Amino acid sequence: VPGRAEPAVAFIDGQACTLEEAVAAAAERLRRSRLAVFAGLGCDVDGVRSVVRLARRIGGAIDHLGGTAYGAEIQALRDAGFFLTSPAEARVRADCILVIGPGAFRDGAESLRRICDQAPRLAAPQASRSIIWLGSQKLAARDFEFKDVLPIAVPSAQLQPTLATLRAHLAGRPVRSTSLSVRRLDAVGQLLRRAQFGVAIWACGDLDALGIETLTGLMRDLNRTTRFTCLPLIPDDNAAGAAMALTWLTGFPSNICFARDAVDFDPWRFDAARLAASGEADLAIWISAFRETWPDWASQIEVISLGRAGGGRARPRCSIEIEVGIPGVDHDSVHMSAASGSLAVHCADKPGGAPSVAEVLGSLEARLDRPRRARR
Amino acid sequence: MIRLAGGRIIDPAHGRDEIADLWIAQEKIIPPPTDISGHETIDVAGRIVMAGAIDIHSHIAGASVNTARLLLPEHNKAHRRRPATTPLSRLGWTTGETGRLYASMGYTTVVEPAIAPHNALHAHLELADTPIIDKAILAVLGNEDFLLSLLRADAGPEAIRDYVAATVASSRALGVKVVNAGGAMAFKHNIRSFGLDDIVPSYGITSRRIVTALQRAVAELGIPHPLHVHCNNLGEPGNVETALATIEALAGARAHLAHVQFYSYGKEGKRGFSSAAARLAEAINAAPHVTVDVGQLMFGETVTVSSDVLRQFTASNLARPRKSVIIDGEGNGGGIVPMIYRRSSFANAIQWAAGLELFLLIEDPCRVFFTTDHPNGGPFTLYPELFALLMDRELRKTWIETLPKAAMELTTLPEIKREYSLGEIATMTRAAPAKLLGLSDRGHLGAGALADVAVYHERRDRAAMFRSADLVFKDGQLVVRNGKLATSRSGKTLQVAPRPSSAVERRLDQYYRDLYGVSRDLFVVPEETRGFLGPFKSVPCGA
Repeated sequence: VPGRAEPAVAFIDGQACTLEEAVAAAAERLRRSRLAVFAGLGCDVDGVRSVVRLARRIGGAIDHLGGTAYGAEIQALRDAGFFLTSPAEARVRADCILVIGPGAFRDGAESLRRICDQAPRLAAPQASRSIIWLGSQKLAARDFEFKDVLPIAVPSAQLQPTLATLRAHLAGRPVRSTSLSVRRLDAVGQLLRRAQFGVAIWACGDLDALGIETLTGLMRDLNRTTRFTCLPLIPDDNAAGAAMALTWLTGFPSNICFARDAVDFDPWRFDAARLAASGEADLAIWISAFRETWPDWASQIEVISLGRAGGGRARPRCSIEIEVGIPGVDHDSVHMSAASGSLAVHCADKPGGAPSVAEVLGSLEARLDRPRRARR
Repeated sequence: MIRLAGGRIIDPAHGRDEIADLWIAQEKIIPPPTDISGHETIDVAGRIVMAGAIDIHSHIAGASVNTARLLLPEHNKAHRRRPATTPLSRLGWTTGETGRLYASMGYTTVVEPAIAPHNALHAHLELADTPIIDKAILAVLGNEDFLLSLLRADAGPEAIRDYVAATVASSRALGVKVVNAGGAMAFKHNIRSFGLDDIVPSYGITSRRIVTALQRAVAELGIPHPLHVHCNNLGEPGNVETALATIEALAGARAHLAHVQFYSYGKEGKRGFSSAAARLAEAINAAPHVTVDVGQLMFGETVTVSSDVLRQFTASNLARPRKSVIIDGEGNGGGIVPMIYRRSSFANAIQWAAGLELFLLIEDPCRVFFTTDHPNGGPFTLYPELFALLMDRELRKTWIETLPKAAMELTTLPEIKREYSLGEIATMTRAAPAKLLGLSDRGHLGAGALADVAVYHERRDRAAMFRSADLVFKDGQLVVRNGKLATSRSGKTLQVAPRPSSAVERRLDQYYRDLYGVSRDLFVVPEETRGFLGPFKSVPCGA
């Protein structure tokens, strides 16, 4: 392709091209589309800002949470409220940590290590920390550096029913537990009650919304007599930060559409998978700047991808791919810090690499202002 | 150059209430020029011309406000089409709507008063996305281990001052607020009720000590806005004693008490809940060093958003709908609890009346500020109704008649005859807040001031008049016409920039690494040149 930049950063129908050509082609696709859906939103806050600007302008839909492991937490908060603390506060104060499900010691191991690597220094004097692992699994010793963990094996499918049984038992209701004996339930319950500042921790994706709601109920009960709160370990793809930014920009964390004059919110209607399968949307813009991800509904709709470029490999209906930089690595970024549990600035290690999502979508938006190119 | 011709200029900062022209060139108000070539005249005869209004206490941005948005999608008009007229559904909820709705009422500067320093970046990101108006945050201190440890160690005023300077600078705040000093920390130790002289467990210091230490630090740093105090025991029957004791504890030192309506309750009557607003107003009248805002309660649905996690946890039993979010942060916590204030409720009627009593019994409009503690007492979109209530005793009477008699008997409101004048409204919402915040460039219409100007059609229906300004200029730019957005623009974020010593910076860096195991950089709001935030403007800090 004449004028092609080296190294190639963009592809149209599997053919390498310049960034400018890819952006021009993407603008043309957006113009032609009946309804476009922006999905994934694995990008920094500036990226989310540019998605909202563009979606508002073209009357597009946004499904952010369909592609992430954070949707259940948002749904549970919306349905039933939440108890929440930060990783730093858990580190300095938690004398009892209730780990729920398998993911926390696996995907969340780094966060968990940071929380547990010293005694809770702001807890009561002489307080130590106990760790209870509800839903424990066997892990190789070399992968598991946590000491003094009380494992309570529960089959995955029984995890949420066990939480419900535990809550019922603590509330003094008669229970017949299938996965844990009542004596065991009682022992766990006593440990939770004796905590002075307990924190329940799980990896996003391990509990569904109903499970989290059950846990929130358990927290409410425990807080009648002691202090207990929650800390979901969030994925490091800024799913939580993007949901926050969408919320202040549009009023909602996800599944919205700007096709009418006011923003419409409907989790079912603006689910990207459904929009693709039904044909209601004819174009998807898939954004995954943090790591390579690909939606399973992608074969059902034409996709423009902003992420790690695959050169058209194994992405049959991906018409345009634009490689974007990793936020905080290739360009300065504001996104959710798993370490602080808040939005933070992440400075680029090697700035000047591939463009950011905000830059690509910004030039795409500018393209929409230009007169339409004559079709060849 | 623009001439606003023939309007009634109400500018209490300069003692003006007269028919005159107002001249604007670029972003400033100018004296009548000798060379008027090339100017545009806008005829505002028969209309009221005031400076742009300033809201000193409105929760418009930040992690807690955003969590409230998440918690209550049913209050968004996009989600729930009926009833379209509930106060919250008119609120808009987004940062974009916040800027637009404030501007359409003639407000040009709004202060978000409760941002935990660790979440300051989040708040500034939202403010950068809030168009038209200027804005600022207050940093919430008073429950964090670093400060409490300094006090426990009797570290002396200089160390406290250094710490406050460093935190205000790193969070880019305009001032400092203290929320139930020590209460959030006590709640972490499972304490459920915390007063001014209660002791924070494991630190051995009282709430009183925290408040007075912070008050002194803010004053000594020369931060123009005095310490903004959210007292203990918010919402509790009999808590007027706490407010009175706090005023006394200040011992003549300057401070601002926030949303005092929520501290103006006695224990009289069968239900043990009454208005003590008259007593509180009397004490405020006698304490010239104290300013207050009211936090008026208005009936309807709303959501309470507060750093007073102890209070919010207690109030979560009253949540309607029945869901709430309770947050234990590193320093302050937070709680988001939805509420419905009902006319038929005895307690809500007392609260409504107590707020109005405070407005009407505090004599000096320079020392009482106009707030609903948005959204805690009601959304800011209800301000116009509140202006009308203050300006019209007959209107108040019609409201009082619809409220529980037993409640009205426990307040002095029915006997109060005072009506606010337009001049007093302008003082309370323009001249006085500018002075309180140290913003000499606004709140008045003198030459050299920013051309933040609101023009209203004078109407007998004061609510209609203030609901939609006829014309609004921000920095000389026409942003609202007939109550509708004319042009959008980005406003600035105002901050003070005290210079912390390098010693305290080093000490804090070390503290974060040791205790929290993370870099303190994660919590520092970056330079605007990084591009994530809007423009900042520094307000001089005169030590």
